[in-house]
Amino acid sequence: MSKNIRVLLADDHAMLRDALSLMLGAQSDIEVVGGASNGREAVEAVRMLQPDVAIVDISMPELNGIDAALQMAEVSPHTRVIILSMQGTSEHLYRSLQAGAYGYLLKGSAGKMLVEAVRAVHAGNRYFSEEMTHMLIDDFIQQRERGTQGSPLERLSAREREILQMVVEGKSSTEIGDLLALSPKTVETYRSRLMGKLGIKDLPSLVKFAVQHGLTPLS
Amino acid sequence: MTVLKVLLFDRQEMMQDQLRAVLESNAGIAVVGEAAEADMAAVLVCKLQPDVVVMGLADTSSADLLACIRDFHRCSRVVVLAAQSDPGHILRILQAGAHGVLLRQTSGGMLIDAVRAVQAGGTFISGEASAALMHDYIRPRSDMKMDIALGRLSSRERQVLDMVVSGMTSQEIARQLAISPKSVDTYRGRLMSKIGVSNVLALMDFALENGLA
Repeated sequence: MSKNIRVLLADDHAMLRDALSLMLGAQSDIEVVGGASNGREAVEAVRMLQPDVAIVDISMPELNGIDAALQMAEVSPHTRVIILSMQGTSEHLYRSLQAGAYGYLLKGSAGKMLVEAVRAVHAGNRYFSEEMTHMLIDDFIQQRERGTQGSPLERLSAREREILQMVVEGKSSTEIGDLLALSPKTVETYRSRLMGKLGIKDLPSLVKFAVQHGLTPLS
Repeated sequence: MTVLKVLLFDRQEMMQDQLRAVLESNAGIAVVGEAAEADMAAVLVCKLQPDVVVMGLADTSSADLLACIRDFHRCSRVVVLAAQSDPGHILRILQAGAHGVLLRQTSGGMLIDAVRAVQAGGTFISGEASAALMHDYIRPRSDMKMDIALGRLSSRERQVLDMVVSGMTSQEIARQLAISPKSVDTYRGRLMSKIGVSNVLALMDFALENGLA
């Protein structure tokens, strides 16, 4: 039998994490080596554990799964990411693939699909649930037809998106500065710059925007 | 364990033999039928109701074979061995309803993986078959400006850039890199012209905008 595929689970719902862990762990070729309940923790865990595969939810506090995937690629380039999310718009899919994800499944997909996804992406292949395959095809065709037209989120740098999420989650500039090792003043600069880029003038609209684009959980 | 019933469809008999040998090397898979022509394949799909149809495309101009995929994918899962990795070709195969796509010349082990993976309900696209498609899909909208600018920098220039934007003076940078302050200034001048900024303020702005600072 081939060596175990080492998997990390990142999802803010502990019960789901436990259930997935049990199911994956029951496979003879898969070993769950860790879990995380927010994006920041997940990146740190990936850095420490260097898993083969990370299964990542998009909607997580502090740092969303897509930007976490982007950072995982830096701290552990061989780790392949599977997005497992409730959300499945073409924008989520596009940004996930851009961030380097190899697979994308919707929550509610059969458990055996997740098992196959782990095996597939570990071997360097792509795996999608059916809805996401259709989304990929349609979006790719549309993109060819209309040429290039990015989503507003892409106008932001990774750092700006990171700060955006923390702002809408109610963190002060000082708190954000502490977390990112920046001065509060720099945080303010980022904040006004990103709001300018998005054409948003107040915090409530910013929160609405972030929720709509899946940057932060609703709760 | 239940045995997966697979039907093979390829116009080249030699290919059929190879595929059969590969698939039957796996205890969980049984090849229940083989076809070299579309009509025959259609009859067998109805009669044998295989779990998975594995079909080979010898070239990219097989419009009739794409129609087959469209027919088969309603009753079985379909794995297609694509002729090449051209994004348009792969896209047409997926559009026709294929659940798995890999290149015709890939290893046998991967075919078995693909058959199992599509049986679970998702879409499997091999790394080779997806590479060009993904590249084309992702590239146009990505933030090219920074990638291009940073891609032009040497690793030393990149190092100096990071230190400059973190607020270090030429002297401090020189000490850390064990080079002369004059060399640091040279590196800094070169990297600024590569990025296309004329003063340190504009450099900071670039760094801030791109999340480097």
